Amino acid sequence: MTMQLLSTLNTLAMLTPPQGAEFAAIVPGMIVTLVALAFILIDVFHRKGTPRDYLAYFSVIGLGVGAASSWYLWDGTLEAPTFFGMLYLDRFALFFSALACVSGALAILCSPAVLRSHRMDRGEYYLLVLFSVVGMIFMAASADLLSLFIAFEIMSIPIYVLAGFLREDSRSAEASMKYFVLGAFSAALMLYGIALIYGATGTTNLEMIAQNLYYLEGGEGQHAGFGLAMLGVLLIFSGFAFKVAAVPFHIWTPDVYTGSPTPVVGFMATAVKAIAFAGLLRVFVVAFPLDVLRGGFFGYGWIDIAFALAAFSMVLGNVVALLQNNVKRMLAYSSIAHAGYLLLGFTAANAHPRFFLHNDAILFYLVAYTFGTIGSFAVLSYFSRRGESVETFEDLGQLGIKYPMMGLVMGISIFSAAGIPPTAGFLGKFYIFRSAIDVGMQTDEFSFIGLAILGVLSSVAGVYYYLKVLIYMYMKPEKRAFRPLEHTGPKVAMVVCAVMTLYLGIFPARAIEITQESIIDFQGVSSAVQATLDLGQQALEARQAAE
Amino acid sequence: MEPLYSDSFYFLGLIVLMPLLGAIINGLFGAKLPRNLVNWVACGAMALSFAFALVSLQALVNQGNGEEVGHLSYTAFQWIFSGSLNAEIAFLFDPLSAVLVLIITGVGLLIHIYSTGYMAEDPSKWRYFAYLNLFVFAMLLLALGKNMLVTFIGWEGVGMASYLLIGFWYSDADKAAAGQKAFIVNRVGDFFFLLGMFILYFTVGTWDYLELEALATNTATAALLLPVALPVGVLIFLGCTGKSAQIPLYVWLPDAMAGPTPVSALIHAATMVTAGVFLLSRINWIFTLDPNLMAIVAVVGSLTALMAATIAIVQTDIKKVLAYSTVSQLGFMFMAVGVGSFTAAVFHLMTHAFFKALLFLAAGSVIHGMHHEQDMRKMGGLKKYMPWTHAAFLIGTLAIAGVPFFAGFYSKDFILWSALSNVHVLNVVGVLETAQMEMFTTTLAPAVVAAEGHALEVLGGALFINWFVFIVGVLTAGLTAFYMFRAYFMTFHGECRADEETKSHIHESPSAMLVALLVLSFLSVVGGYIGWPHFIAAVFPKGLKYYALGLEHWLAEVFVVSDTYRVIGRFGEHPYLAEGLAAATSVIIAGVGIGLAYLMYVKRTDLPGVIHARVTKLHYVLSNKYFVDEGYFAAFVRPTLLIGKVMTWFDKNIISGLLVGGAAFMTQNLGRILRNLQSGNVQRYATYISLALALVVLAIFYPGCLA
Repeated sequence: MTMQLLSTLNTLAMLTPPQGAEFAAIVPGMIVTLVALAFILIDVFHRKGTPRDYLAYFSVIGLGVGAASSWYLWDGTLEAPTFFGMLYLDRFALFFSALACVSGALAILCSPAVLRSHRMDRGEYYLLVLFSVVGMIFMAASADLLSLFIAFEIMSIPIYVLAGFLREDSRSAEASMKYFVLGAFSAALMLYGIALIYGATGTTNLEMIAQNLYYLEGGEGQHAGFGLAMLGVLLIFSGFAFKVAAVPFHIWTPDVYTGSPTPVVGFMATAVKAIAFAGLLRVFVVAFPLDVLRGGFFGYGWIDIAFALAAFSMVLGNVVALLQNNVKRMLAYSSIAHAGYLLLGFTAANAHPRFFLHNDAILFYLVAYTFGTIGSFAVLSYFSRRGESVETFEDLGQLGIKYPMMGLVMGISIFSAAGIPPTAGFLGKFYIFRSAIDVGMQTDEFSFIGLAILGVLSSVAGVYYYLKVLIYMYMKPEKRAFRPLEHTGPKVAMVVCAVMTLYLGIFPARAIEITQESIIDFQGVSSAVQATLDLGQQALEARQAAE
Repeated sequence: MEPLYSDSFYFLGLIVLMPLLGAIINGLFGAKLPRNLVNWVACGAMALSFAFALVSLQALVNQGNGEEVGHLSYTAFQWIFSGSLNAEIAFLFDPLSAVLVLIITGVGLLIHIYSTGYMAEDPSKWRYFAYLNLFVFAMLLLALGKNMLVTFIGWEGVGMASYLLIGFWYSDADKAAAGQKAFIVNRVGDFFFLLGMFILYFTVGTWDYLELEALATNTATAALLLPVALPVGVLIFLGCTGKSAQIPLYVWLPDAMAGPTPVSALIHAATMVTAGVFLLSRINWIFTLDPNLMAIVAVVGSLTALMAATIAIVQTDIKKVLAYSTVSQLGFMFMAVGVGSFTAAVFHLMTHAFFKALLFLAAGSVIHGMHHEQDMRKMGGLKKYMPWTHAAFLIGTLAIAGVPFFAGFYSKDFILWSALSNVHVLNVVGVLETAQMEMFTTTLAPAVVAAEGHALEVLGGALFINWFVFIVGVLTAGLTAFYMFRAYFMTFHGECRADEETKSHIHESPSAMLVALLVLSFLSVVGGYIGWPHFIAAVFPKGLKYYALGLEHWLAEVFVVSDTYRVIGRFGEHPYLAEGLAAATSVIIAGVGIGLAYLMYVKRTDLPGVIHARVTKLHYVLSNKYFVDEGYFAAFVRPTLLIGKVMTWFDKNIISGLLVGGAAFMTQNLGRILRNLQSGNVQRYATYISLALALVVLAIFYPGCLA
């Protein structure tokens, strides 16, 4: 069987030493790593008692270079996985590494004043963000369950620490501890799933897992092998579902969001979720072909689980958010709801290889969601002075009138989150729902359309609690005066987020093109999906030629 | 023909962009800018926009081949593209939009200049100009849209700008309420418009006007549109009744006079309210598909015209007279659309923009001079105080009354003549027997029916509508002449009835305002000279003949299918005698109206009182505007409020009491499980995750679908 495997492998590169060109695959990750290392050196010489703002800006610039490197590598992607089948260098990976860098940079911009106010102005904070971004970059590029898991942990562990960074604040410490324990628990489950997959297929390489699953089909021991593999698949799925905060694996989210430092929450809610979706897509599309792994209520295999999780997340996230008094807690539940919308897109686009191109809706949604969410967290960061932080809806009273700029940014972010044109969030939701309806029409399965209807209805409920923010900011009396944390960083982040949210809502063409290119360049897929991608490639080229 | 600048004539983008920039600059920084700079920004934006419109016009004319000019277009960007839905922000500049764009930017510029004088002392002038520029931006989107989506964005935009400007002095609760009324009534119309758009898209899958035109004017594909033409047409027309103030949704326009007077001139007379007429002309090939649809438009238009004119007779507020007169004139335009004379509709749209803007601005000048007095009973004799304003108002009144050699005469006469003579091909006797019906709705050769210039035999019902529209039109024209001259005489002649205090302050308006009046007066006279009646144009020398019918030639290619294949004149090819008689009728009736007004308000000023005493009841009904507002209040507003109350109760007791409160009650007191779910206990959380996982595994494995 080994011989047979080797002869059919399309990844011959796995057995040869890495070529020079393959090093391009680690460029974005290495840039951020080097920035982090340089950061340690610079921090050593930091004069005590002076603010560390320059270190924050240094990290931001480093992350900017990291994001820019994706742009330079955009046209130089490779078809085969690099480093013995460990990492892909495709536009999909580059897209997410850029997204992680941008999200990290925006979160860092919001941080210095918050840290200083809490007397925790330390270099480690930025270092942890940088290392987390490194993990994210490698996770989006992983071609092997091992590299994936290592990257997953590199991403997660700094976040656990960041969640508890304000250690004098007991809630922050509690959040960190909870997140750590539960995260470790779910990572262990995921690792167990990886072990089961290895047991069933004899490999951890994503493409080889898929091949070996095909070999299992029809052979002896098929039943046991598939059973084992399916259990592994579900365990891995639970790990990702935990990170994206999908119901019922969301249980940590409200507590951790409420306790963690506000800029960290922004980072957690956007980058971690986005990268978890990147990993989810990569692993499930490449390694677990649906045509062999069936089961479930609708018979779509793991898609059925994603379907159920999407429905639960949208409904529970939106309904429970209605009842919240704490803004951060409300945003936590809203992020659960957003995970639901994203899972809806995931469900629709991956139900059949011919719908694979619809995944661009997820990518666009993630971009829109990133800017919208960080925008609102930047505003909250601006008002999180120690002992005077804005937490409940009532605390928001009159803030929009006293600080028109913050009100405007919050308004744009909130409208985007609620999905009201002309913001990016509207188009994101539009594309997601549209892909679900498209798939439903083409497969004649009402369930997809039904899920889209559920999504629309639950997002209508969402409008209620989103607008509550604006109502409090402009129409409710002031309960108590809050002194803002005057600092340029969060203001820059706010402007970037607000401008991008409007830009993506009004001129989305370029961004959509980028997401389409990212999906079309997705490597490691089966021949059926590849056929879809080739069609997409032709359509894209035809349109670009027309323009 | 192939357009010269295919899809990349970016000047169209600049036309739209300028007012947007003006609005952004004034809106964001206006409060801090010097007061004069605010004027310059707003008027400069308009001037540039007007200049770019002229450049575009020049380019359009240049690319013409003598027969046709085609169109210019520009795709700014693609907003949504996914699968079959392709939403572009694209602009189309053809003879029809050219007319409207020039009106918007040209008249708009004049009104901006006028506003610098009128609003000079207002503390939040920057806000006013930001809104006004925003309005122009939205209106240009509406006029230039290459597809219905862009038009709709503009459509909503002008509604919003109108709301902001009507309620500009929002600290006055009545004015704020008027703004809300306008917005809500418009929203009702917009809802129907949207429905019509959806049906259209669902049927043919495109909103692009050029593609739609190709579909609607082609024998093979028009059959696809035919079954939905009536529902789509009625829904879109209902949308137009909202924006263009027709029965049943006209009630907002008179109240909209609460806004500053230049706003009334620009938005509620010259541009926005004509959007419906423009839209119907834009999609004329859909409306002419079905003769029933056209009959609906014609009847609604003529009833509105008559009703508004009767109400205008008894109004005493000078702006209210003009408001009802606007409703009435818009009715005329829909009359023209309904009888298939789109050229006449656009012609009247244009001349009306000139003379009604002039009348409003002159009225504004009066109001300005009288320190915000609008009641005509307290005016009179202003001729000697404000000679320039008086002259301008007189020219406007002559124009709207339909006195020959003033602009209004030409367009109104054109409409009345079309009402008498135009007939849909399907209403001609014998047509249905001679060929297939599809043929007639699309590309039937006119010669077959027109039978070499002989008069046609028309089906009885259709002829009834022709006569109905014509007679109502003539009657309304007479009423128009009467109430407009009544307003003129009451304001400018006789004794001044203002108190001494006001009297001593009456003054002529500043020059910025007079310049606008001057230009508009000029246009109100010569504006009609591009559309002489045919029987007069026939005697023009050869070189001038083309220009004497200039507008008709200019717009011919836009309405070619409707004009030549679907709607034809029933009097044959050269019906000069019939046309002359129609014109004579309208001139005579206008003369009667003017004479009556002169008699009642100058010669024998006791007459109105006598008549009033005779027909108290009628006067009561008219001065209360047929109780339509009250009727709407009873029929819609009160039930809505009642439903609102029920819903509030439902919301309070069921939603927040039973559901939300119940959920809270459950989480807090009853449900042990629910309470513990988010307990904060990490071990519990881990247990849930395990349970959830077990559930997931069960769900997949239970049906035994594996292999």
